[in-house]
Amino acid sequence: MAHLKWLTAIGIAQDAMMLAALIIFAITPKAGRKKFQLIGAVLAVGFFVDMMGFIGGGVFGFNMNLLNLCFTLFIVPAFFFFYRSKISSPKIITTFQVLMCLFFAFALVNAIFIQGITLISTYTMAFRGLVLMIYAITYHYVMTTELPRPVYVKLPIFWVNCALLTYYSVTFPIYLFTDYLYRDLKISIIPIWMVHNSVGVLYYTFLSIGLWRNRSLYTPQSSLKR
Amino acid sequence: MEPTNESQVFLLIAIGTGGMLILAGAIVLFITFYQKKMFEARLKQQVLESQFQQKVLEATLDSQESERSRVAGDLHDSIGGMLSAVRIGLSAIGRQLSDTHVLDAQKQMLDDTIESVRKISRELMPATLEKFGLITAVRELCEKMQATTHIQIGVMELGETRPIDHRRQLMVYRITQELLNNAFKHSKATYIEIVFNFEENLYLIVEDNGIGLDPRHMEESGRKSLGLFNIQSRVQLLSATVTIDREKKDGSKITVSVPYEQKA
Repeated sequence: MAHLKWLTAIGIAQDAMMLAALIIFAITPKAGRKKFQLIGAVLAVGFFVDMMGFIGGGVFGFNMNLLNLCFTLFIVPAFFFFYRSKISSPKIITTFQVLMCLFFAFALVNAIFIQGITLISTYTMAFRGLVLMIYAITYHYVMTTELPRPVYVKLPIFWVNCALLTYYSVTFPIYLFTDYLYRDLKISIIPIWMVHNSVGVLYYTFLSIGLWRNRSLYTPQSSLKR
Repeated sequence: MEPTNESQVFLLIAIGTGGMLILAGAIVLFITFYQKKMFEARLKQQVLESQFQQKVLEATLDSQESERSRVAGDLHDSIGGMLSAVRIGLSAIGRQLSDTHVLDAQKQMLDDTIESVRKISRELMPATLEKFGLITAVRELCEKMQATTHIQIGVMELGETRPIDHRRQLMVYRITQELLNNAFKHSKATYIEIVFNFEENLYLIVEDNGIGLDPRHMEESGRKSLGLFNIQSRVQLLSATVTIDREKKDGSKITVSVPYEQKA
């Protein structure tokens, strides 16, 4: 019971940080919002899905797994298009496209043959994490080769990369083993999901920092060029 | 499931998540520091290339000046000397003739040729610069230019004169020469003022009352004009800076700031 209370509390903290990131995105001037519009879309949709999950699943007891699966399928192409607008190398873009196609193929196989759509598609989420980690690490490499000087921490996208890497590296084993732990070993997965939610707080914190830095570049007081 | 087994499973998961986080962080740090090193190596290489190009430019200009000096010497000593000898011979022949009218015309042409050879020799390598210094050499240059055009040229010296090595003086002289040539050709000025201001650097200011400079035209001409290229090369070698006064409406003002010694 205590674990469940902690899980709920950390979940609320995670949603609060998500909301904070969404607000920062919303108050960014139009030109800045345009650059990060896909991140904004991910935050908005994620917040909606979370609220629906809380209301539908937590209050009314509905199975919200299909909604979660749709959100999972939405995130990968969203980040693909986000990074594509920033990368000029055709080879890297092709690699990203191939990874995205592999992800969709796996998601389909998982939905039909492995976990189905009534259970949480944790394997699909694990694959998603892998793909997004590869995107983030590759873009980090691109960023360090193309910049005239190494001042990465000042770049908004550095924080987006950090967010993706931190969140998906920690949650990758969680998603991978949740199904096995719950169905085969029959143990409580609440402590593990407390870790998941905690790193979710970190994820939205890093995203908020990145969005705030992006906003700072576009406010009238800024002397920096776009 | 037994509590101890459950703890073991949680421990394994914790190690797995921790390991993944450390791995992701290590990859990011590795890429960052590796690229930082690559960047520093590239920067170092660029500095070395720039130094090499500087040395090549120095050697080119040095050999140019050395060649000019040699040609000037040959012109003055060899050809100038021979022409003077021919002049003396013609004078001797003239004393033996009754009608010297045709010979006088030839002697005049020869005098003009001797004067042209001396002028070319002076322009190639001003002897005054070596003997009497930069300011005197520039004054002499201005007097000769003034004699052939309607443009008045003033030379002013401000501040306490400081010693500059001969090589740098020669480069400043060449820059002054090119700036004057440009002013003559393009400015349509009636008055040009040259100021040598000895402060923390030597400031060479060339100002005229002509039609003024269009900086865009200068950039385009810079790519085609050998004169402007020569100015830019020498300015670069001297570690000097050139400033064009964009506020000046009636005419142009160019300031070249030259350090007294070569910066490291």
